[in-house]
Formats: sequence, structure tokens, C-alpha cells
Amino acid sequence: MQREQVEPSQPPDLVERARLGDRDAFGELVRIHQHEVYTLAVRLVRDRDLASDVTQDAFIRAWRAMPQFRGDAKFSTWLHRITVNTAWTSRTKRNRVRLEPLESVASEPTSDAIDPMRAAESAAIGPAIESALGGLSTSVRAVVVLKDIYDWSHVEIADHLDISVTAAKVRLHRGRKELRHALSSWMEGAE
Amino acid sequence: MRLRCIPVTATLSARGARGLTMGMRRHVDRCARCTTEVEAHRVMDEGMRSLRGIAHQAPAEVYPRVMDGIRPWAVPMSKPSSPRRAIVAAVAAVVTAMATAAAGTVVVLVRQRHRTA
Repeated sequence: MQREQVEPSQPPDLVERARLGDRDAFGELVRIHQHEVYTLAVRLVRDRDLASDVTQDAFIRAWRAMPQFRGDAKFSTWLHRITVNTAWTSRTKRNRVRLEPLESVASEPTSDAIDPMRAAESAAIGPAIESALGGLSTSVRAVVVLKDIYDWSHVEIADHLDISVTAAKVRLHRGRKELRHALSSWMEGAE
Repeated sequence: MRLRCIPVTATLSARGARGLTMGMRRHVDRCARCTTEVEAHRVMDEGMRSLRGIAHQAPAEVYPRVMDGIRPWAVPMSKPSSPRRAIVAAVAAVVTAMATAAAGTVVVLVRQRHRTA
């Protein structure tokens, strides 16, 4: 599986053209953002087929909503919100969740890694985390993914998952605890 | 686990190492178990953040399926309204209202005339 950096760049007028109904411009946005949308969908639903459907539906919803996009948030952020809503709706449609580890997923150090040693450490634990996330329940995993990977606020998470802020905090607490437990053997092995 | 380790573990799960109070930090400095726990959470947090930088390759069929799916909505749902169009709409609304009021007045006057006759 190929890996790409999230937050791809895009020509500045592409979103505006798509907003005005330019289908080709929107197609270009799909090309640019499809991998990050698919990645978020995979992390939320843990099923590649379902994630493909979620990605497709999310882009179609985005196209319909393009005239309402005012640019208050980044296009990718807006797209992420639509993806989360779509994934959350789809979980009730298809209640089949595969908990198998996602193959060939490796982490790459990002710019906010503190030093090379730490960056290597983060890269090494990435696949273990992806795998451990699969062991969490759907509702807990969604909160952990959105908070710890995508840096959403508790309020945003609560709003999009239709839960209270307290519930979001409780699920995050539970999820991190379970992840810590699931990763304990990996960490002991790494020491 | 010692009694003073419990709030440290709970805080790490809830808010991460940044949520530790000064008192908790002093305890962590003296407790090997909590030091290990803080380190484990640091590695875990950084590992989670590192996942932001990678993406799964979307299947090849996603793009054509999306483009097929958006064909019926190729025309934007709402066009941006021009100021001129808004003025014409407002004038039309005022004229319609005045015409309705005038017609109503005429009907009332005619009825009154019939009654007096």
C-alpha cells in the first residue's frame, strides 16, 4: 500500500470554481483529497469496502453542499466533518465490522516529532496503534481517532457524533486506557 | 499500585501528561511505576500524532464512482443571486402587494355601494 502525506496542497481557485458548479474543478479536489478522506473512513469504520462507500458518499454529499461552503474552515476540515457524519450514518446501515489489523500500514515521522530518536519511536509504534484501534468499540474508537489523531475538540466530537461532551470525555478516557493496555506488550518489547 | 499512583494513571488516560498537577509530577519523579506510565503515554501520544502524516491509498474505483455519482447534480443547487435580481424581486413583491390591496379596496367599496343601493 502506498503512503502519502495528509494535508495535500491544492490550487487556490479550485474550491471557488467547484463551489460555483465546476464539475472538473470538483473532480480535481476529489483526486487531491480522496486518500485522506478514505484514510479517515478506514480509521472510523475499520472495513475497506465500507470505507470506499463512505468516501464516495462523502464526496457526493460535499458536491451537493458545495454552494453552501463559505470557506470559514479549510476545505479539508469541512470534508472531514462530512466524512465523519457519513461514516457515522453508515454504521447503522451495515453492521459488519472486521477487527482484523489493517495490513501494510506504517507510520512516518511528522514535523512535530521532537528529535530523530523520538520520531523513529513514533514511526515504529504507528502500525501497532492502528492495529490496537481495531480492538476498540466503534463508538470509543471514533472519539479516540478524532481527538488524538485529528485533534478535534471535545465539543466538535460531541456535536458530530451526537453525544454529550461528557460522554465524549468518558469514551476518550476509556479508549486511551484500553489502547495503553493493548500496547503494553509492544512497549515492553520495544524497551 | 500505590494510592498516589491512581490519580496519575487516571489523569494520563483522561488528559495526557499535560494534565498532571505539580503534586502528581512530584510523585512521578519518585515513583518508577508512574515514570514508566508517563513515558508510555508520551510514546502513545506521539505515535497517534504521527498517524496524521500518513494516508491509506484510496481504491482506484473511488474516483470514477464519485464522478458518476455527481453527474446528476452537475448544475449547482443554488446560484449566487445578483444585486440587480434582488432589486427586481423586491419591486415585484411591492407591486403585487399594492395591487392586491387596491383590488381588495375596490371589492369592499363595490359591496358597500350595493348595500346602500
